[in-house]
Amino acid sequence: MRLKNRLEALRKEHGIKQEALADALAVSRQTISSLESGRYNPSITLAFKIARHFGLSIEDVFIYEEEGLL
Amino acid sequence: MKNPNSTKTYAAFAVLGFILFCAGVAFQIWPLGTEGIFVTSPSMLIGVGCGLMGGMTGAAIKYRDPAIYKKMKIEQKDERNELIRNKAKARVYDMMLIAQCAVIMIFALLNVGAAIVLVLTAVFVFFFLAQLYFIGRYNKEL
Repeated sequence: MRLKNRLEALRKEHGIKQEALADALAVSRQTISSLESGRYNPSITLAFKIARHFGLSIEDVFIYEEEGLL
Repeated sequence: MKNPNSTKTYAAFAVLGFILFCAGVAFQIWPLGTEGIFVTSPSMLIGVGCGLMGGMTGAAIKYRDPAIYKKMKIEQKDERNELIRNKAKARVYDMMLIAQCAVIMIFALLNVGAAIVLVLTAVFVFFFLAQLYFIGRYNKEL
């Protein structure tokens, strides 16, 4: 299972820094960094918070890829 | 976010810790007696005093500055940090059980006394049963 996301691209589109996004979502800056690099998959609550922050749906931010499927 | 009452309370406990530390040092230099509690209490006072002073000074500083307090709260509640903490705790728990098993075996082989081995075994069994209890509880809750 792979979960990719467009967080970095969205953040840069909106011209906000990792610190500002972290403050807005009440998480640490390291969490934003880990999410952007794909090292950490967020909880469903945080995924909703991120999507709502950008005014999008979860599917617009996070992309689920099943391994082995063409 | 600022909580002045907490700051004052923590500062008061830090001062109490310093007083205990000073009392411990004083009783170490000028002991009140030569037996029992008079021998052990100074070291305990120093230990408790230092712990209280250090912990409460940190807490007082944390609560004094609203920005630091907010940042620390976020760091504490952050889901990734929580996951990391829980993973580390789980790892340490596994290591602790193995270490405790080893200690029980070594103590039993060294013939240090049945009481010590039995107490250590009871603690080991308690942790194991507590683990089973929490597995059952979380199975019902989640």
